[in-house]
Amino acid sequence: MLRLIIRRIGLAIPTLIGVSIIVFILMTVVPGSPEAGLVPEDATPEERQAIRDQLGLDDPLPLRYVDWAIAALQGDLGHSQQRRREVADLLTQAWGNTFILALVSAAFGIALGLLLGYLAGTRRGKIADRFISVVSLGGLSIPSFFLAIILLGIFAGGLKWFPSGGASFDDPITALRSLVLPVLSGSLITMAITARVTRAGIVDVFGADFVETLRAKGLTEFEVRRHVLRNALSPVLTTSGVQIGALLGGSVLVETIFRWPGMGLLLYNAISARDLVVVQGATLVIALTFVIINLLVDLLQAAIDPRVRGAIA
Amino acid sequence: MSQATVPVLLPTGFGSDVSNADREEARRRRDEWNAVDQSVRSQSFWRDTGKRFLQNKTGVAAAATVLLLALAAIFAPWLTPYDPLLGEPTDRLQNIGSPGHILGTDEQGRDMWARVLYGGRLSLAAGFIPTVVAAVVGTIIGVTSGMLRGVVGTVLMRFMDMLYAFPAILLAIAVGSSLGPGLTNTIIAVTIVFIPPVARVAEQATRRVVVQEFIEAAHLSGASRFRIARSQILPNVLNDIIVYASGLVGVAMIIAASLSFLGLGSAPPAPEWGYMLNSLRGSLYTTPLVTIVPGFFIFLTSVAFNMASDALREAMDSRL
Amino acid sequence: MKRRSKPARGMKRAALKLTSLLLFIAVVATACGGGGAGSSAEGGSGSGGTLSIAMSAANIPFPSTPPNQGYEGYRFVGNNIYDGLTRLDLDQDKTLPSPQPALAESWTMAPDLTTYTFKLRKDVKFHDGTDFNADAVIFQLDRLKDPEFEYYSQTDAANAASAVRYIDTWKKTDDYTVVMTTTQKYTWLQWDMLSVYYPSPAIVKQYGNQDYNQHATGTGPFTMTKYVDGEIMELTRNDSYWRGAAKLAKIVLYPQPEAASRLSMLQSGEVNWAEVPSPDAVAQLKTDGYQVFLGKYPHGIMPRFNMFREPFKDNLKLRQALNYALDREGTAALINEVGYPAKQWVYEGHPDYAPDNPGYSYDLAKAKQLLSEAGYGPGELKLNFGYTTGGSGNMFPDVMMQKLQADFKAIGVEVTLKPMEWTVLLSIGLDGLNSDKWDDIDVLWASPAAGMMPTLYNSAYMSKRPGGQPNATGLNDAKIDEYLTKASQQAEPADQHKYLQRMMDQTVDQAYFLFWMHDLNLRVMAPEITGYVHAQSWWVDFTTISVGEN
Repeated sequence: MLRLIIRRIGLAIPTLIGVSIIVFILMTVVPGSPEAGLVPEDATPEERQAIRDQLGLDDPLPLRYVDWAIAALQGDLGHSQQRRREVADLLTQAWGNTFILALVSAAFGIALGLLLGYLAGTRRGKIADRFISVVSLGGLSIPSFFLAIILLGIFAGGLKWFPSGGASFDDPITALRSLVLPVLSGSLITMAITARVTRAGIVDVFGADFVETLRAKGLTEFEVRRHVLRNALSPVLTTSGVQIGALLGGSVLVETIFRWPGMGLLLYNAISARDLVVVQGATLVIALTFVIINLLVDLLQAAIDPRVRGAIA
Repeated sequence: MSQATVPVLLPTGFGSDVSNADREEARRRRDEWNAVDQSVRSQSFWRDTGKRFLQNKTGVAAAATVLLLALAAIFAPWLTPYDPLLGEPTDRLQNIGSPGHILGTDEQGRDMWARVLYGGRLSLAAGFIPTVVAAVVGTIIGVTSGMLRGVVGTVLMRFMDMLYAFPAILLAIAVGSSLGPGLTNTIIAVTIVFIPPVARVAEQATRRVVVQEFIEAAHLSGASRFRIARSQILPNVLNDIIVYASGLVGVAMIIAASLSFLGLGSAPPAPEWGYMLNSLRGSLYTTPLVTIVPGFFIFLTSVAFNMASDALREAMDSRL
Repeated sequence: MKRRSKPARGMKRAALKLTSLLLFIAVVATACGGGGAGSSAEGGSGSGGTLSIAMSAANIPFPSTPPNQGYEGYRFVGNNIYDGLTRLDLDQDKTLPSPQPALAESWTMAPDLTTYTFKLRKDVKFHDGTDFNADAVIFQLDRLKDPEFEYYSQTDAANAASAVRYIDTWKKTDDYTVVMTTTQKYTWLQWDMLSVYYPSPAIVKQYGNQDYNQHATGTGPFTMTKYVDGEIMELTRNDSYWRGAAKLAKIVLYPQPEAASRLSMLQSGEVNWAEVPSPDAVAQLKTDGYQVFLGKYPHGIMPRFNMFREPFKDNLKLRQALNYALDREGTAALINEVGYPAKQWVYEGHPDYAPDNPGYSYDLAKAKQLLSEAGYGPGELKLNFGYTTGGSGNMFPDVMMQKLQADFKAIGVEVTLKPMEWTVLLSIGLDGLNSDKWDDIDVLWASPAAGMMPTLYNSAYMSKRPGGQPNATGLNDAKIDEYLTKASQQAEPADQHKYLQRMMDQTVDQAYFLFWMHDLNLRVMAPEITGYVHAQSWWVDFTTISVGEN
C-alpha cells in the first residue's frame, strides 16, 4: 500500500509540473499586458517599464518559469501586484470558501444521488425508476448558470427567501442561507451523475451470478443487499471522487453568478487581469487537489474492492 | 456544473466497475463476432444495434428531437421571415406570444424565434464539431498509446493526464482567453478539453482488446501493427468511443454556452444560445419567459443528446 | 416486495444522517472560518443607518492612495477614507463640480503660473489620532515622486502618475504651508490635487507599503473597519470629521460586475443602493417604489478612429459620414433611455461645450453622400471595431455595438465586432494603435469621463503623450495641442473654458471621434435613502446621505 502511494505521488509530480508549464505558456500568449491595470493611460514608457520590471515581464520565458517554480517549491507562491496580496493568502481564502461550497454541494449531491439511484435501481422499470431517470437526465443536461439564473429570479429577487449572492459567514443561519442557492445550482450535476452510476451499479450487480449464489446459499434479502451495495458502491466512489475534485476546483459560473469568492472566481478574475502569479498558483492548487482526491479514491477503492487492488498497483 | 461532466464519465480506475461476469460476457460476444467474417460481422453488428435502438422509444424520440432541431436550424430561412441579426428597436422585449413574434423579441427588438432557429446552427456546431474532432484525435492518441505502451504511450498519456488534471471549464477559459472570443476559438477550446478524456477511453479500451487472443493470432499471422490497429482493434474500440462521445455533445454545448456567458465565446450579434441567455439576463424581471427561451433550448438539446446517447449505449450493450 | 422497503428506509436514514452530519460540519466550519466583524445589516451606533452598495467593480477597490478600480475606487473608497488638498463640491447638482478647499484651507498661484502655495487646515487629525500637517503632505508626495524615499511606493506612484506629473518640486515652508512648483506654466494643479490622497504617515511607517491596505488610515469622513479583499468593505462614520460628522453610521460595499446581479441584490434587499442595474428593469423598479436617479454627468462613449493609417487618416469626409450614420436616438431607445445622443465630446451645458456647433445629426442621405465623396461605394469599406465587453463605466457595450453595426450596414459599411476584455482595451491604450499587435483595429471603443476634469483631456486629444509617445490612436492636430496647452496656462477659469471650447469646436469639425452617447448615470436606491445629491460627477458626497426615517 505504501509503495502504491509513493508510486502515485511520483507519477503526480510530472503531471503537476506539466500543468504549470501548460498554463504558463497559455498565459504568455494571452493578448493584453499585465501592467495595463496598474498604470494610468498616459503613463510614460519609463513608468510603464518600471512596473514591467517589477513584475519581471521582460525576463526570458524559461527563466521566468524556473524562477517561479523554484520559489514555489520553497513554498513562496509570490506576490500579486494586481491584488496587492500574497498569492498564498489569496489562495487560502479562496480555497476555504470553495471548500465549504464544494463539501456541502458534494454531500448534498452525492447523498441525494445515492438515494435516488438506489431507489431507481431497486425498482428497475417501475414508475419511480422512470421518474428518477428523467430527473437525473435533466440534472445532467441543465447548464448550471441557467439554473442559477432561474433560482435567483425566483428565490432571491421574487420571494426574497435567500440572498442573491455572497459568502456570509457571520453566523450559521446567514451562512446556511447564503449556501442554499449556490449549492442547489452546483450540486445538481453531482446528484444526477451519482444517481445514474448508483442505479447502473445496482442493476449490474443484481444481475450478476453471485447474487443468485448468495441467495442460493440462503442469505437473507438484507444480507444480499449488503453485498450488492458493497459491490455497486465502487463505481459510485470513483465518480464521487471525480465530482469532489471538480467541485473543489471551483465552479466559475456558479461562483461568478453568486459572488462566491472561491477558487473559480479567483482564477477567472486573475485570467482577466492577466495576473500570472495568481493564475499559476491557483492552477497548481487545483491540480494538486485533483491529484490527491484521485489518489484517495483509488486507495479507498482498493480497500473496498480487492479486485481493484491488482489493477492499479 | 458543466465541467464536472467530462471527468465523470471517465473515472481514473476506468473499467473497474466492470464485473467479471461482464467481462466474460463481452469476451464471449467478441469471440462470437470474430468467428464470423469481419465485414459481415461489423455489418450485422451495426444492423443489430440499429434494430435495438429503434425498439427503444425514448431513444427514437430523442433522436427525432435532435434531427428536428438540426433540420430547423438548417432550414431556418424557410421557417421565419425575420433576420436574426436585425432588430426593430421599437419592438424590443415583446413577450412570448405577441403578434408576429411567437417567442417574443430580445433586447434589440429581434425576433426570438428567428434567433433561436439561426442560433441552432451555431450551438449545434459548437456541440458537434468539438465532439467529432476530439473523438477522432483522441481515438488516434489513445489507440496509439494503448498499443505501443512503451515510452511513447506513457508520454502521450502523461500529457493527456496533465490536461485532464484541471476542471474542463477552467481549461476552456484559459484556452478561450488566449485565443480570443469567437465561435471558432470556442470550438477549438472545447476540442482541446475533450481530447484527453476520449484518449483515455480509447487507451483503456485498446488495452483491454490488445490482450485478447485474437490479436495474438493476428500478430502471429504476421500482420503489421497499423493493420492490426485498423482491422482488429479499431472496430472493437469504436463502440466504446461512440457511446462515450455521444454523451459529450450535450456537454460541449454547455461548455460553449458557458464561455459565451462569460463573454469569451461567440461574438455578438451571433445568436449563439449561451450568448443570448446572457444578454437577456437584464430583462429577467421584465420578460422572464423570453429570457428563459435560449436556456430552454440549450437544455432541450442537451437532454435529447443525452437520451439518445443512453439509448445508443443500451443498443450497443456497451458497458461504459 | 414488501421486504425491500426496510433496507431502503435504512439507506434513506443513513443518507439523511450523512447529509445532516456534513451540513453540521459545514456550518461549524463556516462559522469558524469567516471571522470579521458582526452582521453588516446592523445600524451601528447612533442614527443615519447603513448604506449597502452594489458597486459595478469586479473587486473591492484598494484602500490605497490612490485606490484602483478607476473612478469607482475614488467614488466609494478614496473620497470616503481620505481627503485631498482640494475636493469637488458634490453637494449640488446645478453646475459641474469644481475644486474647493479641503485639507488645504486656501491656495494661491504665483503670477508666473508655476508656483502654488497651499495653506493647510489646522484642526485635522488622521483616524489614528495623529495630526495632519505639512509633513504628512510632503511624506505622501515623497512616496509618489521620490524613488529614493524610504517609503516610496512603486505601485502607488505608477497609479498616481497622472496626478503628480506636473509637480516639479514640493517643500514645506512651515507646519501648515506647502509650496509646489510645476514643470511648466500650469493652472490645473488644484484639479490634480483632488485625487492625491493623504494616508497617515505613522501607519505607513508602522505597516510598510506592502501591508498598508489592511490598515488604511486617512482623514476622511469614514474609517475603514472591515476589509475582505474580493468580498466586502465596511466603512464607519468618523465622528470627528473636520467637515462635521457624516449622517450615515456605516457604508458597506460589495463588488458585483454583473448588472443583472446588482439588480437581484437590490430586489432581494441585500443592498439599498445599486450602481447601473439592468436598464430594462427601471420601470419595474419605479413601480416597486425604488428611487431611480438619472442625470447629465461627464461620461460618454466616444469611439476613437485609428488615425495612424487609412482609411481614416486624412479622410475627414469618411469620419463625418460615419458620424452622420449613427442612429443615436435608436441606441438610446435600446438602452431604455439611460443615455442620450451626444453632439460633442462633452454634454450640452458643460462649460467646455462649444456653442454654435450643431454637431452631427442622424442623416442617412448625407452619410451616404459623404461616404461616396470619401471614395467608398457601398460594401467597399470593412472596419474592425475593437470594444470591451465589460469593465465598469462602459455603459452597455454589447447592445450599443450591435446597433452601431446595423447603423453602418445601412450605409454599406461592414463592421466586424471585436469584443475584448477590459485589460486588453487598457493595453491598447498603452501600446497605441500603431503597435504591431493592434494595427488591425480601425475604430476603438472609448468611455471617457468626458470633461469631469480639464486634466483628463490630454490622453485622448494631445498629439503626444507624456514621454514623447504619439497619441494612442494617432490623433495629431497642432490646433488642438495649442488650445489645450493654452487652456492649462490661464489663470482665470473663464479663459480656460474659452480655449477648451475652441478645442471642442475643432474636434467636432474634424470629426476626430464618433460622438455617440452620453451616459445618464443610472443609479437606483431603496425608498428609505434621503439626502442623496445626484451631482454632475462620477463622485458622490456621502456625508449628506442618511438611511431610514429622517
